[in-house]
Order: sequence, then C-alpha cells, then structure tokens
Amino acid sequence: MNNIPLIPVLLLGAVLFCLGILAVITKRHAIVVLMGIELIFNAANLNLVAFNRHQPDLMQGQVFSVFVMVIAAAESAVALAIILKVYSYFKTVNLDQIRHETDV
Amino acid sequence: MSLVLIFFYVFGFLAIASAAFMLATKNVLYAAFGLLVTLLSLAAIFILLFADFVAITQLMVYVGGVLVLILFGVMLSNQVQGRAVQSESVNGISGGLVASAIFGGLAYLILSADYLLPEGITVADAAPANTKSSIIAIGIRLITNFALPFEVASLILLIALMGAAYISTEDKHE
Amino acid sequence: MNQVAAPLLTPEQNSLALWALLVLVLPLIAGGLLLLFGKKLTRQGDWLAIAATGLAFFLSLYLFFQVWEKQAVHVTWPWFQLATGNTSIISFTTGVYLDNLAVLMLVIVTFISLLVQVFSVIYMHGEWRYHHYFGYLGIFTFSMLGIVLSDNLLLLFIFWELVGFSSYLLIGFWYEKDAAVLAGKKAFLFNRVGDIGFLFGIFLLYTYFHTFDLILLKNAIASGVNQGNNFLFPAITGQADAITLSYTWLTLAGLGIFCGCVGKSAQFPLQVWLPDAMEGPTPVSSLIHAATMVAAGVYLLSRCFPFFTEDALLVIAIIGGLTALLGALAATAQYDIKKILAFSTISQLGYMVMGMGVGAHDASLLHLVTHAFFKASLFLNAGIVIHAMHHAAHEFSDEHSDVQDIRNMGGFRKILPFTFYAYIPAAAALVGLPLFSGFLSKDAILTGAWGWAGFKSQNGNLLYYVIPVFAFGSVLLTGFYMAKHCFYIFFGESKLYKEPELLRENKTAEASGLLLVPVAILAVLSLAFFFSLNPFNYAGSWVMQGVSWQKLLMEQPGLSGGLLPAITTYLHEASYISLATAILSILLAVVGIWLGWLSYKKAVAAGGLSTITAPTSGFSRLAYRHFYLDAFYEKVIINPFMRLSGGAAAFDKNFIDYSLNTFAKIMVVLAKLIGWVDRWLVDGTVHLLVKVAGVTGKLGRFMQNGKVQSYYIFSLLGLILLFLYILAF
Repeated sequence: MNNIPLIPVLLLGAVLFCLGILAVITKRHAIVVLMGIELIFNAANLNLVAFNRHQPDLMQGQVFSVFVMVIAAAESAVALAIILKVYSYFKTVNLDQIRHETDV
Repeated sequence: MSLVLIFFYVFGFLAIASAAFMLATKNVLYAAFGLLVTLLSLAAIFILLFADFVAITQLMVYVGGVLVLILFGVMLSNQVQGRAVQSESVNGISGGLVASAIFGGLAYLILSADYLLPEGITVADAAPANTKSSIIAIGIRLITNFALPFEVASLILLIALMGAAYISTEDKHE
Repeated sequence: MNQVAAPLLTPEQNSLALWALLVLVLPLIAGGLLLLFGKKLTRQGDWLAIAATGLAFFLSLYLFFQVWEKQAVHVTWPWFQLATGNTSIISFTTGVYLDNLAVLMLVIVTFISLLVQVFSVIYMHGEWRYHHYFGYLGIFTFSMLGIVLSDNLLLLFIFWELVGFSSYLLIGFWYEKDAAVLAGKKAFLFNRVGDIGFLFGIFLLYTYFHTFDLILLKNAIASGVNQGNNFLFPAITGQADAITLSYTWLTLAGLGIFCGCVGKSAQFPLQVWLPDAMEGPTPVSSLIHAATMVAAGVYLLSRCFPFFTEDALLVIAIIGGLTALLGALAATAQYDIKKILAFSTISQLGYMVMGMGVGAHDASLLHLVTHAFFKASLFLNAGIVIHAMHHAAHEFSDEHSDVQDIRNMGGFRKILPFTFYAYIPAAAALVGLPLFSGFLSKDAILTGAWGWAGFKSQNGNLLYYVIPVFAFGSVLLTGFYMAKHCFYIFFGESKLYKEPELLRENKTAEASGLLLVPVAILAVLSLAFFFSLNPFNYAGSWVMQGVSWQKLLMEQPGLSGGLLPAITTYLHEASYISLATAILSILLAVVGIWLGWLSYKKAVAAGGLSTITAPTSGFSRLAYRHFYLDAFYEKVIINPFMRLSGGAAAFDKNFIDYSLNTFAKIMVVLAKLIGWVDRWLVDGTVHLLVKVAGVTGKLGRFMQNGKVQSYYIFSLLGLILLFLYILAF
C-alpha cells in the first residue's frame, strides 16, 4: 500500500500551477516572474510523473518530464541573458518601468 | 495511512507553503530561497512517485543550475548595495481572480474527470519489486523510442546556450 | 436609272442660261446686301436695289429679244442624287427653261419691279425700315424670277414658297399695326392651304412619271392615249413597259396643282386673304398683289396645262368664273380705294383662271400681261392719291378720318390732273373699253368661254353657258364699280379737305416726278397698240401669237386631248361669236359705266357722300362683307379649331399638367420619406457600425496596453473560457 493516489497529486500540481501564474501576473521584478514560470514548469512535471506512475509501460511521463526540464533550463538561460541585456540597456528589470521607458 | 502517503502530504504542504512564501515576500532573494525549498520538496515527491531519475535531474538541473543562474541574475541586475533587492506586487486583484478561477476550473476538472486508467496500476504496484530504479528503462527509451526528440532536445539546448551567451555578450560597438 | 439624255446645247444657249441666272441672282444680291448693310449705305441703299433691278430688266430685255419666237432654251444641271433601296440611284436635275412665256414674264416682273421701286423711293421716304423694305422687294423679285425660270416642279415649289414668304414680310411690313400683322399671317396661312394641294399634286405626278422636270413631264404626258377611263402611256422615261394610269388619279393630280394656284392667285374659296393684304404698303400691293405674285398661279396653270384632264379644266373654269363674279360683286359695295382694286384683282384673276379652264390658254396669258400693267398703274395712282390724302391729313393733324375712303375724296380731277389722266386709261383698260389693252384680252377670254360653252353644250346640256354668263355679268359689274369709284375720286368737290393746295406737293407740281414717271409709263402701256397693231382684234396680237398653245406646248395639248383643237375649230366655224362678244362686252361695259354714273348721282342727291357709314341694304351689305366668307371661315373653321385647341390646352393644363404636378408632389413626399429613411436608418446603421467598431477598437487598445502581464491575464481568460465550455457541456 505504498501507492500514492492520483487525485491529490494532481491537485497539488494545480495549486502550484496557480501559484506560478499568480507570481507571473503580480510580480514586477522580471526575475521573480521567471521564478513563477519555473514553478509552472514544475507543476506540469509533477502531473507527468504522476501519470507515469499509473502507466509506466514506455516511461513516457518520465521521459517527457526530462525533456521539459531540458527546455526549462534552456529557457531560463536565454531568459536570464535577455534580462541581463535589458538591465544593461534600461538600468532596471522592473517590468512597468521598462514599459514606460519604451513609451517614447 | 501509509508512510509514503504521509511523506507525500508533508512534502506537498511544504512545496505549497514555500511557493506561497515566494509570492508573499518582497525580497527577491527570499523568493529564490522559497523556490529552492519548493523544488526540493518536489524532488522528494518525485522519489515517492518512483521517479528517481527525474528527481535526480530535478536536483541537478533546477537546484544546481537554474536556481544558481537566477541568483546570478539577481546579483548582476541590481544597482542597490547594502539592502535587499525588492519586488512590489501589482495586479493583485485581477491576478488573484484569474488564478483562483483557473484553480477552480482545474480542480473541478480533476475531481469530475472520469479517468480511464488501464489495469497497469497493479503492475505499477509490482514495479518496485522488479526494478530498483527507473534509470535503465528511461535510458533504453531515450535511445530507442525517443531517440529523435532526445537529439532535438540536445540541439535546442546547444542553441539556447549559444544564444544566451551571444545575447549577454557586451556589445563592443556601443 | 433616270438618266436624261441631255440635248445638245449650243454655246449661245448656254450663255443665255447663264445670263438668265444672273438676272435671277441680281435682285437677291442687292436684297441681301440691303438687309445686312442697308443702314450704312448712302440713302440707305435704295439706289443699289434700283440699279440691280434695272440691270436685271435690261438683261431680261436682251434675253427676250434672243428667245422670243426664235428658240426655247432648256439647260439642266445635276442637282442631287438619292439612293434607293435597290442599289439604283435617282438623279435629280435642276435647270433653266427659257421659252416665250418665260422671257415675257421675266420682262414684266423686272420692269414692274423697277417701276415700283422707283415709285417707292418717294412713297416710302422716311420709313425707319426703309432699307428693309427694299431688301424684301429684292427677295421677292428673286423668288418670282425663280418661279419663272425653274424647269422643274420641285424647284418651282421652293420658289413658290419663297414668294409666299416675302409676301408675308411685305404685307406685315408695318408690323406696328395689328391689322398688318394679322393680314400677313392670314395671307401666309391661306397660301399654305393651297400649297398642300399643290404638293400632293407634285407627289402624284412624280409617283407616276418619276421626274419633276416640266419638259420631260410634258413629253411623257403627250404620249398618253386616252382610253376612256384610263390613259395608256407607252414606255416613258425610266420605265420599261407601257403603263396605264387612271383618269381619276390624273384629274386629282391636276386639281392638286390647281390648289396651289387657288391659294396664290386668290381664287374661290381662298380669296379672302387678298383684300386684307392691302394692309401692306401700296407699292407692294401694286407689285405683288396685283401685277406679279398673284399672277404666278396663272403662270403655273399655263406651265402645267398639259397635266389637266378635261374634267380638271371644267373645275378650273367653274372656280374661275365664280371668283370673277364674286370679286366683282364684292367690289361694288366697297368704299376703300385699295379694297376696290383688290376685289377687282380677284375678279380679273378669276377671268384668267376661267380662261385657262375654258381652254383659252393664250387669251388668259394675254390678260395676265395686260392686267399686270394696268393694275400696277391703278395701284400706283391709288398710292399717289393716298399719299396726297395723307399729306393733307398731316397738315390738318387729322388722325381719325380714313384717308383711303373714296367718300372722303372728290374733285381730284382738278387737284391732281396728271394722276387723273394716268388713272383713266388704266381704269378703261380694266373695264374693257376699246382701244385699251384690257379690251383685247378680255374679249379673247370671253370669246374663248363662249366658244367652249358652245362646243361643250353641243350635246344639249346648256348648263355650260353659266360660265360665259358669269363672265359677261362680271364685265357689267366691272364697268359699274370702276366708274363709280372714279366719279367719287375725281369729280365733284373735295369733301374732307377743302384746300386743294394741301393735297398737292406744292403749287407747281402735284406730286414728285419719281412718283409720276412710273405711273405715266404704265398708263401709256395700258393702250392696246402695244399689244396688237389692230386694237380691235386680239387675234393679231403678237403676245397672243407668241404664247399660243401651239407654240408653248409644241402642239401637245396634253391630257385634255383634242379639246383645244376642237374649240379652235368650233370658233372658226361659228365666226359670229367673236363679233358678238366684242359688241356685247362693249355694250355691257358702257351700261355698267352709265349705272355707275346713276349711282353716283343718286348718292350726291341724297347727300350720302359726306356720311360715312357701312351699307345697310341687304345685298350691298352682303357684298361689302365679301359674302361673309371671312365670317364663315371664322365660324366653321377657325372657331371650332380654336375651341378644339382651347379644349386641348385645357385638357393639357387640367389633366396632364395636373397629373404631372400631382405625380411630382408624390415624388417629393416619397423623396422626403426616403431621405428620412436614409438619414435615420441607413446612416444610423452606418453610424452604429462605426460606434461598434470604435468601441471594439477601444477594447482592443485597452487589451494592447503594453503590459506583458495583462496580456498574460487575457490569454488566461481564454483558458477560463475553455473551462467554462467544458463545464457547460
């Protein structure tokens, strides 16, 4: 009986997903927004792994979660590079300020 | 209630709590640490779900790579010295409404969904008995069924690294 | 194809034709110049008109001596071509035809025109449209010469209309007077009535013979053979086979042409325009309404003589006789000097037409010639008398008395002796007294009429004698009215203006020489010697011999067939007719003059000379009113037409216009309605669409606010919508 039921895992993923969304929407600091995105990725990963627990024939869930991580790593690398570039240009990473700066 | 389930709830609660902390705090560094705890909790949950390889990857990529990158980013993008890097919140109401609406929808879907799960649950129950780790299975899958996505992912990674390096390079001509 | 084999022309004939054309255009050029630039020329250019007419007269004289009794010149030129449905082309020719009659008419027209223009220099002096007057006269002369020279009916018709037009201009010359305008209109319209018939006659002839050319027509018709009800024509111009034409249709064609003559020569029943035409200037009355234009109808009858069947000639004779009698009767009751002369003109034209009808072709033409001179003389004398009366009226500032009323005159024998001596020969010629020209021509016509009646009534039908009786009755009446008005004018005492010297130009001269010379010339030409060496015998007249049907028609009497030769033979056998006619006509004329004297004495005795009233007794009132012909036309034709047109106008106004207006109103209301719909519905829809688009655009702009996080919110809203969709189903 060391089996974890599916529904709680999915609900946990949903909670994390919504918290990630909330972070993306509400935060003004670009890096915090990036963190929210990572959180969303992880929520998705959790779902994939949970489904894989119940259908482990081809291990698709786990393989996909690995791919998701690869993409997430690449994404965060590029995103951080962009953030640094934006910072060197605008001298800020505050999204609202950047918007005002572009409103020439 | 089995021990596994107890661990699941503990780590699940921890992940939610730290994620909420990440949202609540204004200090960016604190937020990064909140995220760290969340990622670690998730890695634990992955192990509980018999996904040891994914859990290890989680630790290596997220905790060891992405989070470090984020911390670097925080440090490199700050002029202030001697006080914490702050991040205010906006769109509180609309964001909260949207997020709670999405959560409501998701929860309803999850609870009302009619899962057509195969009989494999029993097989899964037997899985730990057969194999201690999923690494072998994943390795076989990655070089057989998922060889092409695997290669494409590597390419993407390479290009992303190159792009990131190029973007962050200081423009000499400016 | 209607190709006419042109006869070979000698160079001399060609040059004669060209001279004739010059005669034709000279008055036109002068008239045109005067109308355009007359005001700028010295003396308003009357010398130009007179010189042109004079030159034309001398050229006419030259032509006369070249052509008279020597040759006939017929020169044609191509005029225009018409394509018919089947590839063939109809060619029309125009040309000049000079024979005895044409050159005679040329001389008469140019001569009288010249004299009248010389006369007009004084008579019309001071008119503010003096140059227009001479311009119109030039155009008239041109048109009249055109009629005389034309060798085909179409061209003749064109000039015929031009004559009518210039007559209209001249009658209405004093267009300030309403009466003149109305008279001009009346003359024009009555002429049109006749011209319609003329046109139909031309059409009929063209339909049958495919040519307008008078000479070709004459030759074609001469070849016809009378078959009782039909005429058989052997292959004539333009046709391969012999054709048979109905006698009735040919008679109708001839009567159609005669209609033109009825209009222009003022025959019954269209004669009513001529007395009214006296509203024009007196020299115009002399030239146009006595000597030349009205004679055009008779000239036309002569030219078209071969086209008349025996029945057509009978109708012509009846109309002519009736006109002669009616004109003479009407003249007896008139007191206006010009009206008397106008009715006498109608009467004399009736004689000529009757002469044509009874086959006295040459006599009729002789009367045309003699009448032209003595009637022109009479009118010009009347002009002098009226001029004198005007002169006196002007001195007395008298604007109410009628200066043309003979009862206002009197005693002019002493006051205007020259005029008297010029007037008397012309009047005698008109009455038909021996030694004067009128005697010859009238005698010839009367003899012809008697002979015709005698020949026709050989079958026992004495009704044909009505025509000569009419003619002899007219002689009596002519003597009566001419004598009567001569006594009124020249004898007794001047009634209205007692001072004789006021009537004269000055103490020594009764009138200007330019007035008297033409009158004198014309008076002399009223003598018989100029027309016949033997003043008692018309047969010896050179004019008669020149225009006899044997010469003019080249021994081809045409459709009337053997009528002319038969009458000639009949007259030859019954030689008493000629003598009896002469004696009878002289007798009747003398009786007429005696009756006129009695009438004058009676009027003097009754003191009626000074009271100027319209006649009261039944018959004279009838005659004075010209037998109420005008009233008859007014009642029978004009009033119904006016009522009809009035009704049509009322219909037009009350029904059609009303419908149109109502329709227009409905349209306006409808348009307003549509406008409202357009403004509020169509435009409203458009505006609504614009508003919707604007609101949508604002919404879109609101979403595209540049905040990356709000984009995220909106995309998540899409996700929520997906959830809602799943929840709903």
